[in-house]
Amino acid sequence: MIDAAVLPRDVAAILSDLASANGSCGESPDLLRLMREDAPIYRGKAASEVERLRAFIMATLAQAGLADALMPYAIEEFETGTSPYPIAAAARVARAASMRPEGIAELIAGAIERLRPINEFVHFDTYPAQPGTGSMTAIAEAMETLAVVRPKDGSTRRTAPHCCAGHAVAEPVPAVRSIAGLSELELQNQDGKCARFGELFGGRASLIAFFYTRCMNPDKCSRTISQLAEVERLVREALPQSTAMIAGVSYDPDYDLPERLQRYGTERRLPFGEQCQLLRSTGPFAAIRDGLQLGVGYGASTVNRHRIELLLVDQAGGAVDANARRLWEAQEVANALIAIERNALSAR
Amino acid sequence: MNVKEYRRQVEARLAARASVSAAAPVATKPPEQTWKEAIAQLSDSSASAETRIHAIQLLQAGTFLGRQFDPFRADYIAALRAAILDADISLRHSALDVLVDFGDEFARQKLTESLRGIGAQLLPAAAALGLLARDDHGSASEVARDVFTNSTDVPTRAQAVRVLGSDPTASGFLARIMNDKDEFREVRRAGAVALRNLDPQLFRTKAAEILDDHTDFKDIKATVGGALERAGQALDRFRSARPSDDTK
Repeated sequence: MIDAAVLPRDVAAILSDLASANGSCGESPDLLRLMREDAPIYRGKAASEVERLRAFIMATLAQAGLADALMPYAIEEFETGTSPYPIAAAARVARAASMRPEGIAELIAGAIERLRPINEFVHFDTYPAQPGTGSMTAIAEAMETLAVVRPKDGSTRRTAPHCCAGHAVAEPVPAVRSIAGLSELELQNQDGKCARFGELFGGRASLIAFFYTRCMNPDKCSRTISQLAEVERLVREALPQSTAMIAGVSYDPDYDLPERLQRYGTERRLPFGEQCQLLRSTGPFAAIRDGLQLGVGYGASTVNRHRIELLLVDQAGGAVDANARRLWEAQEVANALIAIERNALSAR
Repeated sequence: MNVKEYRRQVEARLAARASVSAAAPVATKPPEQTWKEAIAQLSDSSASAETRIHAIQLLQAGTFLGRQFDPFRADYIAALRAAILDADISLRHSALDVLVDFGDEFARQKLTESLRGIGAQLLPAAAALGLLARDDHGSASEVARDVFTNSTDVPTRAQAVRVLGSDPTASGFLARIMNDKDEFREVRRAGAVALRNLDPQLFRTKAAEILDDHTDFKDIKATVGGALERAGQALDRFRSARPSDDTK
C-alpha cells in the first residue's frame, strides 16, 4: 500500500505496479532516475524525508528486479550512509542482486558499525511507515545480507571486480565531457575575490570537488575538503612547478559566504592560495549543477541530499576522469592530476 | 549535651549505618534490566506521565553508555514515537525533544503536520517551531512563514523567525523584520540574531540603518550594536537616540 497523498500520483502508481511485479521489471533507466538526488520527487523536502522516501523507492525497485542496476547506490550507502532506512534498503538490494562487487562484506560490516547508535525498526511495505509497523531493525536487515554474502560454509556467490560492478545505466561517469560551457560564470573565493570559471580553471589541469559547509555527513564534505588539502600537498611535493588548480565548489552558495568558506577550509588545513581555493557561485547555482549534471538535490533552505563528486579536468577543459558516490584516496587522485600535467608537459 | 557527646553520638549512628550497608548491600540491577523495564514503562499508556517521563530520562542517560545501550535503541525509538501521540502534553514534549535531537523523520513530520493543522496539535506552535528550528535540513521554512503570517503571539512569531534563520532565501525577510518598528521588539531582536548568522554583510548594513535612526528603540539599538561590536565593527555610529516609550 503506497500513500498517493504523500507521493506524486504518477510515481505512486508506478511503484504500486512495481511492488506487485516481483522481479519482472528488467532494466529501466527511467525508473533508476528516481535514485538521482535531483529527481523532482525529492524537491523541497527535508533531508530526513528524502532518506526515507529514497530508501522506500530503492527497496521497491529491488523487489521489482532492478537490484543489479541499483548496486552503486547500495554500495554508496554501505560506505558512507548514516541513516537506518537507506542502509536497510541497500541491504535488500545486495541480497537480491545476482552479482556483487568484491569487498562488499567489509562495506556492510562497516555500515553495521555506523548503524549501532542509530538503529531502528524499518518497514518497506507502506510509505510513510507508521510507528510499530516494522518487525526487523536496520541492523537485522544488514546482518541478514552479510550472512548471504559471507556464508559460514565459505561458499560464495558470484562477485564482480570492483571496477565493473554497479555502473548504473542512468549515471555515466564523468557525467559531462567538458567544462567549457561554464567559462563565463562568476565564482567568489574564500577571500571574497571574484573571477570567471574560465579564468580559474582554463588552460590548466584542475581538480574540482563539490561540498557544502552545512553537510552533516563527516564522510562526505568534511572528508572531501581534508582530502583536497592532502592532494594539494602531494601534488606540490611531486611536481613543484605544477600549475594545477585544486578547488572545492559549494553546493550551497547562498549560505557558504566567503567567511564560512575561509573558516571551513582553515579548520581542515586547506593551504589556501592562487592554486587552492574554496569557491561559491555568485549567480544561480543551477547553471553549474545542470552544466556538470551534479548529483545534488535541495530542500526548502539547503541541500537535502548529495553524492560525493569529484572531477578531473585537463588543460583543454575536457573532463578526463571523475569520481561519483564512492570514497576516494588522495594519493590516487594526486597521481591522476600529476599524470594530466606531465602529459601536457611532454606534449609541448 | 555538649559538643563532644553530640559528635560521639553522630559517629556512632554513622558507624551503625555503615555496618548495616556492608552486611546487607543493596542489590543493584544490571543496567540492561533497568532499560528493559524503562522501555516497558514508557510504552505503558496506563502508567502516569510522570513515570513515563522518568523512564525517558533513565533511557536517555543510558544512551551515553554507547555500545552497552545499542541493543535497546530500536525499541527505545519505537516507544518514543508512540509516546509523541499520547494525550499528555508533557510526555509528548519530552518524547519529541529526544526524537528531534535524533533527527527523527516521524517526529519532524508530525510536528509539521501539527503546525499545518493537518494532524493533532502536539505542542503549542512556539514549542513546535522551537524543536523544528534545531534541524537546518528540516525544510521547515515554508511552515514557519505560514505560522508567522497567521499568528500574533510574540513567542510564536519569534520562533518562526528563528526557523527562518537557516534559510538563505529568507535574509531579505529577516532584514525587514529587524527594521520594522511596528513589529514586536522580541521578534525584531530574534530577526537581528538570525540575520547576523545568516548574512553578516546584510546585517551590518541594516544594523547601521537602525543605529542611525534617532526614533528607534534603545534596546533594539543595544542588540544590533552589541552584535556589531562582537563582529568587530566600529560602533561610532551608535549614537544616543531619543528613547521611545512605545511598549510594543
